[in-house]
Parts: sequence; C-alpha cells; structure tokens
Amino acid sequence: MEFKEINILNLAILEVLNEREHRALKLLLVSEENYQNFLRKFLQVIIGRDNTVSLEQFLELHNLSNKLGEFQSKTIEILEEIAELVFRGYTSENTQWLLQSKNEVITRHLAFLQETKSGVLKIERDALKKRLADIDKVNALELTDQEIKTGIKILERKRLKSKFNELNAKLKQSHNDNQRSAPRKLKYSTIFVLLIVSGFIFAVSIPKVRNYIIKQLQEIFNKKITENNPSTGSKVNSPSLQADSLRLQGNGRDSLDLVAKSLQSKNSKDSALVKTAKTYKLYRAYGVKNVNLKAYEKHFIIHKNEIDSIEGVWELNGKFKKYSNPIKTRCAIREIENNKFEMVFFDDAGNKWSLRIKYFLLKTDNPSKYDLLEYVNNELISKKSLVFKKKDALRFQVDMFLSEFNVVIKNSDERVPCTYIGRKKRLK
Amino acid sequence: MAKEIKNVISDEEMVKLLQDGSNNLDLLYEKHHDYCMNFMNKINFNIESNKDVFHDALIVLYEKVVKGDFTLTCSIQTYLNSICRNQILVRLKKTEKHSLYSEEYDERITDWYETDESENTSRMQAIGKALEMLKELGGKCYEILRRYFYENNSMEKIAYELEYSNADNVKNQKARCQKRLKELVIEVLNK
Repeated sequence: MEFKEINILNLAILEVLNEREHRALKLLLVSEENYQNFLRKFLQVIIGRDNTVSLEQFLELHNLSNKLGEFQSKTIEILEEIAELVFRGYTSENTQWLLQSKNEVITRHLAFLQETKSGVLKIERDALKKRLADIDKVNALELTDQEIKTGIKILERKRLKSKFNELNAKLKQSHNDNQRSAPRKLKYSTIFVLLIVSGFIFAVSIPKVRNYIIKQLQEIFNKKITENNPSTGSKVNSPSLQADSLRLQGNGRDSLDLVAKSLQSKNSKDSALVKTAKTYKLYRAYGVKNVNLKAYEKHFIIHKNEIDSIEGVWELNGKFKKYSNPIKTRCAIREIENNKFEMVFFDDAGNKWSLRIKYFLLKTDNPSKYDLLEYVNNELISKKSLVFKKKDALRFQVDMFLSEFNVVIKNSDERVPCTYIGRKKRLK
Repeated sequence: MAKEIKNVISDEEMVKLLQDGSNNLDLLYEKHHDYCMNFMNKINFNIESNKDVFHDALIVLYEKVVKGDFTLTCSIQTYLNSICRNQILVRLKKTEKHSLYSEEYDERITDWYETDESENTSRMQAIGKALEMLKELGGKCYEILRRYFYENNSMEKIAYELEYSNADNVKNQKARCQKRLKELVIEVLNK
C-alpha cells in the first residue's frame, strides 16, 4: 500500500548508512517485518505526521543518533520525491495528511512540477503543431508529374553537359598531343625509311645477295601461280590470308577491346548474358574469332574451333566442374511437331543428358517473361526433357541478340546457352 | 576512346549503344565532334558557343533515343548537323549584326533543344535542389524517378533492371519516393 513511499525512505537510508551500519540496524530489528514497520514509523516521523517522538529520539532508539544531521538534510529530498508521486496521481494516508497540512515543501514542489509540465506541454504542442503544419504543406503542395519530369531533365542535362565538357577537354588534349608528336613521328619514320632504303641498296649492290633475292622472289611468284585456278580464273584465297584479313591488329584490336569493355560496363542496363552476347557479336562483327570472354563473363569460354558449329558448343567453367570435370554440353531446341519444341542436352560423347534437367531453370533476358519462367520451372520438375508450345518458344527469341537463351542451373550461377537449330534437324 | 571503332561503328549500332545508357556517349561525341564543329565554325566564328550548340544537339539525340522515339531517317551526322545548323541560325538571327542573315533553316529536322519557361522559377529551382538531395541520399529513389520520367521506362522494365520482384512494388516505391521528394521540396522552400 505504502510501498512507494517506504521505498523512497529505504533508498534514503541506504544512501546515509553504509553496508555495515545497515546490517547492524537490521540485526537490531531482528525480522524483516520489524524493519518494514520501522520504515513506516520513520517516514511518519520524518514528515512530521507522528509527533509522539522526535526525529532525534527516534534515531537514538535505533542507535542512529550520529546520523541525525544527514537524515535532516534528506528530509526535503524525501518530501520532494513524495510530491512527485502525488503529482503523478499517487495517494495514501501520508500524502493526504501532507496536502491537508499544507506542507510547504510539498506545495512548492507540486507548483514547480505543474509549471514544468505546462512548459514541456507547450514545447511539445508547438513541435506537434509545426509537424502538422508541415504535413499540411506536404499535402497542399501539388507536385505535378510534369514538374518532376522537368526537374529531372534539368538535372540530367546538367550532368550530361559536364560530361561533355570533360570529353571536350580530353579531346583537345589528345589533339594537342597528336600535333606535338606528329613532327617527331615524321622525323623518326624518315630516318627509318632512309636506313631501310640505304641498306637495301647496299645489299643489292653485292652480287651474291642480289642473286639470292631474285631467286626467292622467283619462287614466291611461281607458288602464287600454282595456287591460282587457271580454269576459273579465281583469285588466290588461302585460309591464312582470309584469317589475316579478318584479324584486327594493334590499335584496332585495342579499340575493339575498349568498346567491348564499355559494353560490359556495370552501368549498362543489360543482363550479364546480353552483355556477353553483345560483346561476342561485336568481336565476331570485326572478324575476331578466338575470343576468350572469360574476362567479361566468367562462366563462358568460347573455343575457337567450336564457335561456328550449328548448336554452339560451349564449355562450362567454374563451379560446375565439381560435378563433372569439365562437361562439354550441347544444348539445342528443335521442333518435334508443328507446334511443339523440345530442348535436349547432349554430353561430350553425344549421349542424351537428361538426368540434370530437373535441376534446370529456364530463364530469358526479357523482363516480361516471368510467367513463362514459372511455367517452365514446373514443367522441368515433372519431365526429363522440356516440351513447350511454339508461341512460348518464339517468345524466347524476342530480344535475344544471338537467338540464344540461357539455361540457368538452379541455386548456382552456371548457364548453358542454347540456340534454336530449326525444324527436325538432327544433332550430330 | 576508340578512334578506329568510332569510324566503323554503324549508326544503328550507335543507337543501340546509346539505348544502353549515357556511358556510350563518349563514342558518339568523338565520332561526330570534329565534323560538327568544322561545319559550325564555317557559319559562326564563336567556337565556345558552337561547342554549347554541339552539346545541346547531342542531348537532343540522346533524349530521343532513350525515350525510344528516335527513328533513323537519315545518318546521325546529318541529324546532328541539322540540329546544330538550326540552333546556330536562331542564335545568330537574334543578334542585330546577323538579323539579315540569309541562311535558311534545315526544315527536314524539326527536333530542337527545348527548354521549359518554368525552369527558372524559384519553385522549379527548389524541385531541382530537392532532386539533387534525393540523389545524394542514395538508394533507388532518384533512379526510379529518372528511369520513369526521363527515360519513359515501363514499371516492368524498371522492376527487372533494379531487381524488384514485380512492377507493383516499383509503383509503391515510386509513390513513396515522390512523397519524399515533396518533403524535400518543402524543406528547401522553408530554408
């Protein structure tokens, strides 16, 4: 009942007495019940409700006469804490007596608490009002789509212009560099040409060397004649020459690599597959056949001799090696009926590789294909080979750069690219 | 960047690269810079102003490509030249010195570096500032708004590219972002 008040007093006693003194007091009072009664009585004495005994006498009775001063100074603190209890709505016989007797400390502290409350209330109310006003403002502010659009346009244009200014500065710098290095290049190339020409003149002037050169040139000439087909009159078309003409050299290849790198940029919106496909297409467009795309897409290695095969043979790399080391997988889609397609996998030996199919999940790079993804997934769980409708199969090829799509192994990043090979075409 | 590649890359490939984002603008810039600048320098001697016009023309092209309403009816070079020519003629004809300038506009290309009159109002400046704050805050808010309002991307496309599970989630996120933007605009206006 009076637990809260008694607790206040108990805490005050613990502050005044040390551990040994407190233990001695409890020993004196013998039981816990007596100690609680002591606290109750002590509280009544300290607040002045019990006048039968003075504070000094009360303390003396309990061997605490040496603590009189300290308890006297604690009195105000205790009363203020009781006032706070009253302020929060606590009531007891003691508090009622204190209020009736108009205890000065209690009255003053209650007035102080009331003032503080009003102040805090005012601050809180002001803050709340401000927040509500802000919310009103937010609700009242009509930000039209057109305004947001214009705002973003301004910002993006600012970004683009600063990018262009940087490019302009870079271009100017490179023009300057070229202008500076041009005379030097001319100087060195002139010296080089002069050295070659003078060396050649010197060599040719020696009869033995001259005879050797003439002999070699004659041999080359004869060889060219035999390579030509005199009946059709076709030109010399040796494979090595063709390959050379397709290969980009020096700066050209560097530049191609740079463009490829830009295609692989993190900021590109494309998926990893489309990035790879675009890079691959770029290299192919400029005749580079032996492309190791490992640097761009770690899951693929394209082999020089296999790149032109009709199915596209790809070697899986990476984690997949754990299961089979390494597996060369051919994957193809073929039309088995007029409106049905079948997807089959073949291992290196040409055997059907269907056991793993249930672990596959078909994924296209077209964002609108989520439905299909699930549909295919369900099919894969129940069937060894995948059969789906023609319209679905055609949808796979929408937006596919090389008419290829991915088969993604569930719970891993591995992919097997597939290519549509046409109707009823037999795999080798 | 790629000096050799810029000469062999076709206009169709260039448009495709631009659709992939502003990173590939470097290639476009380098490919057409010299020709456009030489072309403009013959009409107008103010090289700095010509540079601005060239930048504006690139922005016109880029904005049309990313919005998906660009169709190649002529080469990119011709397209840029026409925009540059028209822009520069307007600038020249505004000045007294060239008020009687006899060159005619290229009427085949009507695309123009359009600016909104409201761009300079304090309200629009506050919106711009709030957008910058939104961008600096990080997260996907600015990117969603940019893709939706600047590149006209569909919700499905944004969901796919920003790795949201579906378009509805993007829609909700966009609404939240617009609310956040409104709050930031008020914050800027109150300052």
